[in-house]
Amino acid sequence: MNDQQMIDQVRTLLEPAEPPPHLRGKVNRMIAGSAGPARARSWLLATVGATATVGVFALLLGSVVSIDGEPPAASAQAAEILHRAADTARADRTPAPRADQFILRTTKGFAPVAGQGEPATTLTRSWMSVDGTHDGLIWVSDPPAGGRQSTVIPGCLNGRAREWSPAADGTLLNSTRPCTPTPAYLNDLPTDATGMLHHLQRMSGGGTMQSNERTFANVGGLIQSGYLPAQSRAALYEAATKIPGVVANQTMTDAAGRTGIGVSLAGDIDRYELLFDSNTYQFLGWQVVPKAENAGQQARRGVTLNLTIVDHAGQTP
Amino acid sequence: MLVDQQFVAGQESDAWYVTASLADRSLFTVLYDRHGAALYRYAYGRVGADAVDDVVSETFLVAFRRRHRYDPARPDARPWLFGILTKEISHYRRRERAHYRAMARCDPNDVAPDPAERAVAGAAAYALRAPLARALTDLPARDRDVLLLIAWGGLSYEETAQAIGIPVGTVRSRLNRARRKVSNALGGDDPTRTQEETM
Repeated sequence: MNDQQMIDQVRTLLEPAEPPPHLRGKVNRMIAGSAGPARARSWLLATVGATATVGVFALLLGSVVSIDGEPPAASAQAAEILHRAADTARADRTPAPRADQFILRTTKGFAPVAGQGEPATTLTRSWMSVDGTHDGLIWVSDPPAGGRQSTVIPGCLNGRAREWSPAADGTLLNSTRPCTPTPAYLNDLPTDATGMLHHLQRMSGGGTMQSNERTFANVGGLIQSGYLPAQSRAALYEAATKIPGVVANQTMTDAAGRTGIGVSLAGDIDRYELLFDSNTYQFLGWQVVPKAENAGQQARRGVTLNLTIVDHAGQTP
Repeated sequence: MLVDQQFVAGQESDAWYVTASLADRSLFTVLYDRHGAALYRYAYGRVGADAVDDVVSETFLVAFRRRHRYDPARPDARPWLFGILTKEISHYRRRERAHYRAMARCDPNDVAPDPAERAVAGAAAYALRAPLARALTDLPARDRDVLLLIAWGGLSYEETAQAIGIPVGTVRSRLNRARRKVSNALGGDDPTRTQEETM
């Protein structure tokens, strides 16, 4: 037996396992809340039983859906809201942005403060280069102690981008590194509902534990990764009509206090919400909130306030 | 965006996202999207279904808190994350033993077997697998870490060295030691012994 043969044999012992969909949200919540006081390490053992149960439920849900064959789609009311939103998106005549422009995304975050009723709020603005070759910018209203308020995100021009300083403090050097541009204008996405649904499913890496929760969570993922052309936005809302478990919310209020009409999906731990203006059916926001029974712990929330096209990084409309 | 942001993992390196997350912490999620599944698979084999969620999420939290110390010259964060995970698993096992000891139930070594063995409990019927699993549990923890990071984590020798913070020569010697023990456990005589050290 040589080393490689041993490694190959040992490899056969590993059972396939995939992370449950809720784990991503859990990691995000822990990261979001990590500025607070350090948690005692002993929480880990205490929660072992609870998380094991969640994992089992996730598995059960996955198998029920696949046994049924053709899964029921979103509720009829949810589908109606989504179709109207798709119509609105399709009627959007906003011209495609120029390659040298920026997508400005404004988000607001809410973090609980120990001993205070009111959560702390942070406004974040990110200017993302339309074609990915220009320097972008991230600005935060309340940077952490010692952190920067603005950070340049170097664009990738001719396959090279400026390097970060080894100090890892967000400063840029004059030297460059190889890169591939990441455009913020997503003009290579499907423009039909079926193609978009497949795209959402593929975003999770095409694992065997494909779940409706994961697919719907990817709707939000796509919305936040950049600016979708009108036809793709319409396809996105229509793809959501094909996701089982999506329900209508005639009145929905987001973390920033804005009220509209929306659709949502309740996952194992979080609820995923897509909010539209109740008159125009224009996109208002996307947010993930802990389900009522989990609301007590780390109810840190964030909401997309706005997505616009501007000429320069740092420019506000 | 603080809670739910998922960037479609772009072409930028992990190092880029680690650094950018200093300004926008939500960018750190890209590391979960890229490496979460591999870490989960590995941790599942090491600690079993009961603890895997906690071990993996704690790993990302620790990584997040140490992100300002990440070496941006390393574009791939996988060895770094596996290194943190390895420590988390060993913390977990220590806590688990202490917990059982506190409950004074029995010898902690009996109630908390290394789940390298648990992972194969279902496959024990296979004549070859049971001794192999037992051989794994009998290995000293540091030799087992090296072997499993390579076999289950899919790391190269160099990445394993990076993850644990040891020279690559030490990785080779630990693997070598592991192979001798595993080989003995599987029947002793080793016709390929002359080919060792070929990797």
